[in-house]
This record gives sequence, C-alpha cells and structure tokens, in this order.
Amino acid sequence: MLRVSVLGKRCLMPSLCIQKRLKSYIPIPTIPHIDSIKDNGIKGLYSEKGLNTVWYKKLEKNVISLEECIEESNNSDNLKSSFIDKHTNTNSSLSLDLTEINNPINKLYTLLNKTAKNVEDYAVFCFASQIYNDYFAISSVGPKRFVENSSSSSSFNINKPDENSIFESPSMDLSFQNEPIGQLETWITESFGSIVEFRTHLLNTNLAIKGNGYTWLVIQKRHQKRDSFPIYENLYIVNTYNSGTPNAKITEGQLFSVKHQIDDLKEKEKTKQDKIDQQEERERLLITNLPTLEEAKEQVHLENSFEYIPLLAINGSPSAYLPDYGVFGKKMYLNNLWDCIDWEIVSNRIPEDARKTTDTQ
Amino acid sequence: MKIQTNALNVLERTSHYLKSGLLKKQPLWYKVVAAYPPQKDLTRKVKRVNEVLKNASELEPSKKALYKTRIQPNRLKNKLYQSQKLKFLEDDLRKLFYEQHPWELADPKNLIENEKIMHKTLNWKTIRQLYVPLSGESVVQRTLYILENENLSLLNAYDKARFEYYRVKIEQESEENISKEESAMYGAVFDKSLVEFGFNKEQEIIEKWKQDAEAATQLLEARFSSRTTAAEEESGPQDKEDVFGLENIESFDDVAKS
Repeated sequence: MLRVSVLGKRCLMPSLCIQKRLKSYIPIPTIPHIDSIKDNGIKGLYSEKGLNTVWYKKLEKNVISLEECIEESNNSDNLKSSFIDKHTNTNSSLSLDLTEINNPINKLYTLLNKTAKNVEDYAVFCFASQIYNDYFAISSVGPKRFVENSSSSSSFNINKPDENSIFESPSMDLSFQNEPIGQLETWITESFGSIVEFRTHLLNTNLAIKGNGYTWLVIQKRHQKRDSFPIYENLYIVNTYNSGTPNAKITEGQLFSVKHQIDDLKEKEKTKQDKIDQQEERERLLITNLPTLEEAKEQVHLENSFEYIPLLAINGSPSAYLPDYGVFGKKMYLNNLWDCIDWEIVSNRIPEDARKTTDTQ
Repeated sequence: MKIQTNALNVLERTSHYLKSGLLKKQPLWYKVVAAYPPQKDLTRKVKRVNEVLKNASELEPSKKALYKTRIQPNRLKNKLYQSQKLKFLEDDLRKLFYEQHPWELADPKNLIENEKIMHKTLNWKTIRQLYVPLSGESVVQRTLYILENENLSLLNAYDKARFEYYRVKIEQESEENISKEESAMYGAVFDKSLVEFGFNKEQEIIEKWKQDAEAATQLLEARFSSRTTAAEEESGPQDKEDVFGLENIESFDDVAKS
C-alpha cells in the first residue's frame, strides 16, 4: 500500500518540478565521452533529440523523484549520508572506472545497498536503480567508429521503419565490424562459443523484452572461502525487468528480509490488540521464527554466494528506442546499438584481479 | 465362383438389358455403379511365359516366405485404371527438411494451416508470414520463391531458406523463454503444461493399475502357496519363485517418472 501511495504522488510531481532548477545534494552522474558530443547525438545510434529524451531528461526526472522519495522516507538521514560522504570533487570523474569512490554512480550503488532489503524504501530503490541502469546502458556506447561503404555516411541509418519491417527476412551476416577485442573476446568465446552466437543471444534476449527492462552482460565472481581469492568464472547474459538490478549481492536475501519485516508489522499490530495471552503469543512467535525450507535455502545461498559484476547493459525499454526508431524499430535499434558498443569501456570494467587470473591461465 | 469376365462392363450390359426389355426395373446398385464405376479389371488373361517371369522378378521378396514360387492374381497390378502418381518438388524438399530436422515435427501444428500455405496469394518474399506460423513448410515455400526469383541453384536456395529459418526460430524461442520469465517476474503464475497434465493423468492410471496388479498377484500367490504347501507336505520345502516379478514393481514409478 505504501508503494502505491508514494508512486501515485510521483506521477503528478515531475511536471511541476522540472521547471525549478536542480540544486540537489544528489550528484548527477556524468558520462564525459557522451557529454562532449551531446549536441550531435550519438552517431549511429541516437539523434540529438533522442539522446536528450533517453538520457538527460529522464535522468533529471528520476533525480527529482529520487530526492523527494528520500525526503519522505523515515530514515532519510541515513539515506542522505550515502551522498554526503566525500562530496568534494564529483565533476572530476573523467575516467569510467567504477571502482572510484567519488564517482556519483558509486554513491547510488551504496544507496541501492541500503534500500534493497527495506520495503519502506522501495520507491527510493526504484528510482536509484533506474538511474544506475540507465547510466550503465548509456555509458557502454559511443559514436559509431566505422562507416559502412554502402550506406551514406550522413544518415547513419536512424529512421523509423514501418510495420512491414516485422516480416523482414533476417540478415545472413556472420561477421560484424564492431566486435569485442582482446581478453574480452576470448572470455566471450569461452562462455558463449563464438562472437556470432554471443551477438545473437544478447540481442535476441533484449528483443524479447516486452515491457521495461535491461539486458546485462555479467561476470560471475565466486568466493570459495572467506579471505580466499575470488574466482572469476563464465560470462552470463541476464535480464532485469523494471528497476531490477543485476547485482545479486544487493538483492540476495531480499525475500527473506521483506517477509520478516511484514511479519514484524503484523505481530506489532496483534500485540496491541491483545496483551492477555502473552505467554501463548511468545510460543507462537518462536514457532513462526523458524525459517521455512525456501528461506533456509536462501540463507545458505547467502553464505557461499556468487556476485555478478555487470560489464554491459542494453536498455530494452520502449522509452529507449521509441523517440528515434518508432514502434517497429526495436530490431534496427539493437543492430545499431551493437555497432556502437564501446568494447574498450566494457573490457575496462572487468575487475583487475580477474584480468590477472586469466593471464596466469 | 468363376471370375466374371465381363465385370467391368456390367453397367453397359445392364443398360442394354433395360433398353431391350429383358430387365424391367433398374437394379438398386445401378446408379451407384454409374457414379463410381469399377476401377479394376478383373479379367483373367492368358499370359505368355516370359511375361509371367518378368512380373515375378518385379515382385519383392517377402519377409515371410523365402522364395516366391507362384504369382497370386491379386498381386499383379494392372496400372491401366490407376491414377497417375503426382510428383512435386515441394514433397522432396519437405521430406529432406524433416529428415534433417526430425524434432521440428514435435512442434504442434494445425492442419488447416497448410490450406493457407497453398494459397497462391501468399508472398514468400520473406520467410515470416502474418497468417502462417513458422514451420518446415515455410522453408519449402521460401526455397521455391528463392529458386524462382533469385539466381540460385536448388541446393543454395534451400540452404538460404534453411538458415533464415534458423535465425527466426532462435528469435522465437528466446522470445518464448524471456516472455515467460518476464511475466513470472511481474507475478504471473503458470498452470501445468499440457505435457505435465497428460503425464499426471497417465500416472493416475498407472497407480491404479499397480494397486490392482498387487491385489491380483497376492491372490495368485495365495493360491500358489496353498498349492505348494500342499505339495510341500508331500515332498518337502521348495524355493519360491517370483512369478510376476513383483520385486521389480517398486521401481515402476521411477521408470514412469524418467
């Protein structure tokens, strides 16, 4: 109920709030290589207008909403603290290294960590997660670097296809100009078989998303024992829907904690109603506190858990392709997106210790 | 009864009889036979020895008998009245495709779908069609289209259509999986699939059969043991046999589940 009431308010707010200048304590995540070409759009993927709607306007709305949600939250001080820490040089984040503490996106990550298991802060989690996901998706792409011989260089193939494009025969190409490089390529061929298979799998997984969602390329990190070196295993393709997050570490135990919170609330109400049979109440509580089989499984899973580190995100939501490609343009959007993925940035996101482990192999 | 020599022109003869007044009334079968005249000439003809031998060599060796020593008259096919065998390229292509991809036959298919396919208004410019779901038939029709419109050999045209089919199939399958996952994430609850439903129905019958079988075997065992005890009294104890393999029946569930 709480979620509905908070989100219901949101619908009215942004239109009023956009006019007032943003002076938020929330640092706005910046992507230097996109900001520099903001006026031309991303060549080969988004027009100037498209980029503006997909990234800048949406970001502004989300930040405003996030701020309001934090203000309304019961533990807003705690949530705010994740931004106030080390606030000194937010604008100097020139590199895309996500391990950098001062990068605004890392502050969002800490916020996600705080809110993921709390039902009351669900709205905060949603908006923070949306900003985080969008940031990831937009920062993974860059302007198209090569020009195909056949098509004219000026148009870059951004247009709105009509309904006949649904029935178009698939192209039979087996080689693509923009392909992953270096170590990432070997990782991908080890995990998926080949680049063609990877591409087909990645793009089809995204194409199938009907609502809002993202497709992620993640790397699996596993701790065998505590304090031991983490093991980096295969790459995986994962979908998240709405404002889900691929970081399993954040969401692990979510069900468990949410259920407990709901149980606690119910118990509080009950104890208010009748304090007579307290002894029986306690006994009952003892029984209900025993975890069910599923909860116990989740708990065990928590202890020797995997971590998924995102490398690449593709936004499959209609809002990502509607402005430039229209209703029938998702396929074209995805094909263009493949050409625009900046594989250097993606491979830079592989953790350093992972690079070492594969080097030794 | 002797084989009727004039069986084929029975209609002709009867009409003559009717005209001449030999028969006053039309026989009941008259109109039926007129509508569906006899297909086979049952007239026995004198055959030369060579011809008989030639026919004998054409006969396939039967699995039951080692040698064919005589030709039965019903085995001799008179092709005069048989309809001509129709040959189409589509059939060969279809056969080839399903030989190479037997599991594509596992996709459930409505037979009415083929009627639409036969419709010549469909344009196989693309393998995807609005009214026709993707199947092996799409490959066949698309191959024919490519063969006509693009300058490719039959084999290349087939390969092109086949690879297009693979791409679309991959897309469709991932779409099925993802949309299931997506709707589950939004709270959808899926009922049992048709296969599971059928399996459960089957399992019910098997359970009942198992109970019945156990009861029946107990009865038989009781009879058997009463007989053997009677025999034992005469000739000492004997090893009991597991007549119906009851020891194995416990694993029946496992077999069914696997």
